Amino acid sequence: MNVLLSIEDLYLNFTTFWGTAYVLNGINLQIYEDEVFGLVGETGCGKSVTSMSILKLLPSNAHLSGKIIFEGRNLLELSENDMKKIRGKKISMIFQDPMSSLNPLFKIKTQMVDVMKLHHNISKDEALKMARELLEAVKLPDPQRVLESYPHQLSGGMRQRVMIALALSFNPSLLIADEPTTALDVTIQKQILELILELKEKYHFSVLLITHDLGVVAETCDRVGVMYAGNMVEIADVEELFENPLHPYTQGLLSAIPDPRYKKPLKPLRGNVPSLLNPPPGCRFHPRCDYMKPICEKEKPELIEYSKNHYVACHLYGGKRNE
Amino acid sequence: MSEIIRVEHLKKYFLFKEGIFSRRVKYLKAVNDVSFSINRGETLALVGETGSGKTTTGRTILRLYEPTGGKIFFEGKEITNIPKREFKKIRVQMQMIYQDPYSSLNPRMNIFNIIAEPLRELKYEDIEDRVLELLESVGLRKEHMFKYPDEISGGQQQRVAIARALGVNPKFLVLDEPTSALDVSVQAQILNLLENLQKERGFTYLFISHDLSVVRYISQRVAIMYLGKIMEIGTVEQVFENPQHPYTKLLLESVPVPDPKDRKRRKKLILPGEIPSPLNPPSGCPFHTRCPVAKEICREKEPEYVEVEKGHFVKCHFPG
Repeated sequence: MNVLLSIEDLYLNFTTFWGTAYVLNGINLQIYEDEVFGLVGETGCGKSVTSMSILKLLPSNAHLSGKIIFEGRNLLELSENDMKKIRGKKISMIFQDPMSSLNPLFKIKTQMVDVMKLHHNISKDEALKMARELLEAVKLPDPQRVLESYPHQLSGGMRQRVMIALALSFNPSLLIADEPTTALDVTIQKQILELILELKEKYHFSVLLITHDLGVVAETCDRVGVMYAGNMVEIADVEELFENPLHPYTQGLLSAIPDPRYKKPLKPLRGNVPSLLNPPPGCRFHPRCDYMKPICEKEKPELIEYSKNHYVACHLYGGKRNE
Repeated sequence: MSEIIRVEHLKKYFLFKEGIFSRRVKYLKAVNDVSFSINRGETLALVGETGSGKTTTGRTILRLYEPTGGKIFFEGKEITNIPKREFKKIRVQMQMIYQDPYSSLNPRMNIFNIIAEPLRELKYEDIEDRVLELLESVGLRKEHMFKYPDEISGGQQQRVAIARALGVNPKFLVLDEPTSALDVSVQAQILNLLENLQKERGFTYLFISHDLSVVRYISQRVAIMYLGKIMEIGTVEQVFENPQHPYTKLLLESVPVPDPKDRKRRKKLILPGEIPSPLNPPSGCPFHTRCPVAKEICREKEPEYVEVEKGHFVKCHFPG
C-alpha cells in the first residue's frame, strides 16, 4: 500500500497568556491510500489539532514544526496560495457541528453553487446540476427541496450529508472527518458512517476519522492511532488494537468503556488528563500509569514497531527506536 | 420489593401558537400516555432519540413541569395535584442530576457553599462535618472544599453535583444523561460511583440516557421511548437479548460495538429516515413511517401493550 500522507515529528505549541501550551509533542503517523484511519483520544489529547495542522488552519499564536508530507510535498513549507489549492480539493474536512459550517442566511443552493463556481470555473446552471447530483450521491431524499432550504430547515443528519456532498465535490484523496457523528443520534450516526464507508468504496479516498468513541472506531476503521496528551501512544490495525492493546493507556481506555452486548465490570482510569501548560515530564501518562518505572519520569518513550505494524510508545516495550 | 414511584398515563403537552399573530394553537405532545413504576433500590433507564420525551418525563415526575394529565405516586401517595407547600416536603426526597455539571453549579460559590446551601435551608446541624462526609462519599478531598466550579474538572464537577443532591438524604434520583458530557475514563468513574452509592444507601434511580451501552451497564430495567410513548419496557436482559419491537431491534443494531470482530458478523441493518416532528406525529403507531414491518393497520390504529413474557411489554401490532 502506498503512503498518502505522512506526519513526521510534528510539534505544536501555542503561546498563551498563561504560558506556552505544548499541544503536540512529536507526532508520527502514516495514512495509506484507500484506508480509514481512526484517531482516538479523550478531550484535549490533540486529535483535532492534528487534523487542523494538516490543513494549516491554526490561529496565529500556533508554532508548528516537523514535516507533513502529502503527495511528495511538505505542507508546512507551502505558501498560503499553494495551501488553498490543497484545502477542499485534495484534502477535505467535515466537522462535528454541521450547523456552524453552513451559513444560516443563505439557501443550501446558493452556498453549494458558490463553492462549485469558485473552484470549477463553471456556469451557474452547470453548478446547480452538479450540486443536485452530489446531493443524490449522499442519498438525500428530494434533493430539489434540500437545495431550496435554509440550513435550519434541515435536520442534523441532513446537514451533515450536505457537508459530505460539499467535501466530496472535488474528488479529494483525503477526507478528514472530525467527530462527524458526535452531535447525532445513534440511528443517524449509523446512517452517516455507512454512507462515508460506501462513498469511500465508490470514489477511493482515504478517511482520517477523529473520534472519542471506541465503538465507532471498531465499526469503521482499518487502522487506529491512540493519542494521549499530545503524544501518539499506540498505532495498530483495528483488530490487533482491540485484541492485544500494548500501551497501559489503551488498555485502560478499553476496560473503561461499557459494552452494549453484556454487562462487564468497568475499570476506570484513575486521575485526570494533565494540563498541557505544564505537562508531566518524561512519559506524559506516568502519573496515571499502574506500571510506572523510574525511567518513565525522565525520558519520553519513542514510538517503536513492537510487532509487525503495531507501534507503541512505552518504556515497558523498550521505548528506544531500533534503527 | 416495594414500589417507590408509579406513573399512570402521564401526559405533558406544550402549547404552541401556529404563527406570531395566529390564535390557533398546536399541542406538542412531549409525553403522551406514559405509565411505569420503579421499585426501591432499582434503576429504570429511559432510552430514546432526541425529541422522544425522555427528559420531559423525568422533569414532569419531579413536577418541574406541571403534568397535563395522568397521575404520579411517590411511596403510594399521589403527588400529582397536591399544593406546592405540601409537595415541597416530599420533593426533598427526590433529587435531580443534570447532564452539564458546570451549568448546574453556581460559579460564584465555592464547593463548600454549594454543598452546604441546601443543608442550611433545611436547618441541618453540624453542616461542616456533613459536607466533609459528603465530599468523601463521592471521592473528593478536603482541599477541594474552597475551590470554585471552574477550577475543577468536569468529572469532579459532576461529583459535586451528586454530593449536593445526596446531602438532603433523598430516596429517588432522576439522572438526566449524567455522563454524556464526560470523557470515557471519567464516565466509568461516575458510573461506578453511582452504582456504589445505590448499593450502600438503597437509592432508586430513573436513568435518562441515549447511550445504550451505558444503560446496559447501570440499569436493571429499561423503557424505550419514541415520540412521547414507551414502545417497549422490560428487564435489561429481556429488552437487550430478546427485543420484540422493531424500533428496539433497529436501535440496538445501530449501537456501535467496541469489538472489530463483531463488525463482519453483524447484519447491516440501518434504521431509515429520522424521528418525525412531535408537533405533527404520524397517525396510528407513531413508528409506522420508519418501520420495516408496518402494515395497513399500523397506520390506522395505535397498538395496545402486549405482555410477551413476565414484565416485558411491547406496544406493537406485530411483536417478535
